[in-house]
Amino acid sequence: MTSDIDLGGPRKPTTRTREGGARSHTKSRNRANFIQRWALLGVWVVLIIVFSVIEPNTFLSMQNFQSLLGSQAILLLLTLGLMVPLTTGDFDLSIGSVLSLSAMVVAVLNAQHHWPVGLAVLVGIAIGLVVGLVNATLTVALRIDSLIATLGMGTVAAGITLWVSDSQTISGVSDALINAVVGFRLFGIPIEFYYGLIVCVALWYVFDHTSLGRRMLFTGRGRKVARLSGVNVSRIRFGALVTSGVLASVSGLLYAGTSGAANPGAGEPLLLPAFAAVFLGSTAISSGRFNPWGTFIAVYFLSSGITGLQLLGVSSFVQNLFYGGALIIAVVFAQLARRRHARNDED
Amino acid sequence: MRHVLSVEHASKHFGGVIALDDVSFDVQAGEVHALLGQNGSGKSTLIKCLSGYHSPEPGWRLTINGTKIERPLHPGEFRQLGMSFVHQDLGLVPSLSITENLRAGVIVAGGLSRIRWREQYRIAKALLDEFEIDIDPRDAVETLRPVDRALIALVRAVDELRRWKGSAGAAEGGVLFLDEVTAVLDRAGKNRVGALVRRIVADGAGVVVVSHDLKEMVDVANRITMLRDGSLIATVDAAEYENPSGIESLIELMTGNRRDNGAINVERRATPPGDRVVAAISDLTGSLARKFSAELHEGEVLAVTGLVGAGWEEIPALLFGARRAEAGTLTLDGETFDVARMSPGNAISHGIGLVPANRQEDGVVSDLSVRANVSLPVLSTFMAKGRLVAREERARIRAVLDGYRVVPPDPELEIQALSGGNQQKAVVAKWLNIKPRLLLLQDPTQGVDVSARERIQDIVWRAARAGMAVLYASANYEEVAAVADRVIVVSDGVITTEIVGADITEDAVTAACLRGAPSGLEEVA
Repeated sequence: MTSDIDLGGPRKPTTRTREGGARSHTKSRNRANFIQRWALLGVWVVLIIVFSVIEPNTFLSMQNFQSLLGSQAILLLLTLGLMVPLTTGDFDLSIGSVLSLSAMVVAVLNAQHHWPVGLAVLVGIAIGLVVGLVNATLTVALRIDSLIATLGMGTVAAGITLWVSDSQTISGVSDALINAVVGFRLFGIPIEFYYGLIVCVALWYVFDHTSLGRRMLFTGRGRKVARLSGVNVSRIRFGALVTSGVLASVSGLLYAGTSGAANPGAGEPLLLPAFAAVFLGSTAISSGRFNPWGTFIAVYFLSSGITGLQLLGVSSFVQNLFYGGALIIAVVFAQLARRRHARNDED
Repeated sequence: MRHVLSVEHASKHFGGVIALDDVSFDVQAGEVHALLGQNGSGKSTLIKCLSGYHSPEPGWRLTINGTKIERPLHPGEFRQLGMSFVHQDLGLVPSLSITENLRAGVIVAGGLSRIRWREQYRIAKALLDEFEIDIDPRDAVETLRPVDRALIALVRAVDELRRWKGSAGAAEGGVLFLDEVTAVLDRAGKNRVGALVRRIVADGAGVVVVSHDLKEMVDVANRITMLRDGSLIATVDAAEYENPSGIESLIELMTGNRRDNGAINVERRATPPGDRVVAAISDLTGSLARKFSAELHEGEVLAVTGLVGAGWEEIPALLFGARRAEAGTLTLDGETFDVARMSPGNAISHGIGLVPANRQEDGVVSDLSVRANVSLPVLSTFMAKGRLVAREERARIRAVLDGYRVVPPDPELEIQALSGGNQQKAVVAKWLNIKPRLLLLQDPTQGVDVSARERIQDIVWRAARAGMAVLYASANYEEVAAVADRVIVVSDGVITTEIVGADITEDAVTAACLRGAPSGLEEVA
């Protein structure tokens, strides 16, 4: 296999000689960066204040916040998982279906076949692992576009879910799982929120404080540069797709534990919100990069907005408007920010 | 005879730099006319004035197929005037069929009307048959050998010219420009293209060819126009040079009698490299290079060079595992590796670094910080207790940037905020920072301003003398002459000449590259 590294040789002269040196507008740029970093958090706070003023009895209740934080943990975990392959430069469209399948397998094995819940949970995670491995093999080893490979695998997983469940919602999941997910509360917030938080901290640590995180960043941003710098980009992309598969199956377990049942169409509607949150999150905190805290803020910003609007009596279509709109606005912002950078470098 | 193209008083200035200085030449109907000159001689600028990409200075006069024009051409206007250009990249769409590529102009112009594929295939087949190209027009271009792709691109250009003739009602004429189309072809391929060019001019068109391959030009051209430093040197009959000493005379004409550039390097050559062999390359074969063998000594800068496409360019990438080698071994301090199984990660762990040619694609991630870009290959050294020690990384990279005079030495800037020259200094610093035993460089000063270029050469040379071996691949002969302790010239994939020490001058290197197959100069057994 011959790689396509550019061998150089004379070519048309490039007339892009710029002089380096600290720019006079460094200060204004720093301010712009600061605003960009914290804008999403600020807007989230404003949103909470506005809804709290409008709906002081419902929105501004401890209970509302506690349930919001708990119930969105599933989406948070799914979104954090998605962030990993996006960082290394691959899509994973199978996460929603993996969530459904893992939740369904746990419900079927535990409630219908009376397997011990611990074993059923292990099988559920194993499913995420297997789908992740297949995604990674297709994408990295066989060089199929991740968009296509994971779209196909996701559809296969959705088909298996319908098959094993006979297209029914399966309930009767063991209390042990329910307790492990929502049975305990810390500061009034269900334990599942803290699972998401732990993963968020772990990813933040890996992304920002390990050489693995740096290598992942380079793999996503400049695969050829990374490869030529000795980064094993295949292994990193492989690991990223496996990670998103496993985290999607874990969020499936949270789903089964939260509702005590599995619905064959549980995960698919979460795919778009997950994308919206990752991209929106990439405009905050470490702006321009997919990052865990930005993602965390984005997940809760979006769900706060939706909860608030629903409390105002706006019907459920608002969810689609909100998530779809957020995805588009996020990528437009990212694009504009990039263009602003490019312009700054021209002069 | 009457001319199909005549250019008079073409000049072009870029700022204060005169790229083209009052050049005139003409092409007759039925003639193959070679445009020769070194890099920077003005041939590209001249071609670009004719394609409408550059506006020449006022005062030029162009007569093309009988039309007189005294203003700059608009981009694309050349088509209506009966000119056609084939550039080195050929402009084919690899995934589409030969028919679709050949007939693209007609197919695209058809709008919503149904494409009669069978007819299109028939026309394409007839074209291929006419030029004795034995390929199925249904094949995708990407399945073709490089020489066949070049032929297809030529045939398409000829077909375009014919359609122009049809619409203009001209019986003959049309001018086809071939801009280094054969650079990556081997001798047989060049001959094949040459044969096609002769056929094309047989029906009254004129062909202008640009190439560095003097033998090819003498074989195919009727006349040769020689440019040097933007000026016209002479237009001569190619037939006069079809003898053993002809190539030598052309080389003299091309390089002129310049001062000896070797003098630049006197100070450097005063301190010779060591004798110990650090790296030995043996029988390295890639897609162009064949059985390349060389030894690199401690402290030595060995340059590999040649004409574009001759095979020298891939040697660093092959050794580094960035490009898969077919065969070959590398012995580094007594340890032997199979180059065919080398990977970049492997290479780095054995103390090999590669400064790639294309900085934007292969060298840096432009919107990440200088620090992140420079520290990538040595990241693990900043890990302590499972954690990247940012303070240590920052301090270390800052010291590296200071040491190699990267301006500004601010590790936190996005690397794209630096000038091209400073970005490239940072890339060189990145690789010297791994303390390599063998440093490979591919055209390291491409697109870099003069002062940064000298600075980079100096950094490389000092790093070499500090004890590593350096392999420097470049097509810039001036630079090769300035930096190298020894020069290996590769032609058609094999080593043809080796130049050592005081014999290294820009002219000697240039001549060796142009001469190609050995004749006269010391031959390497």
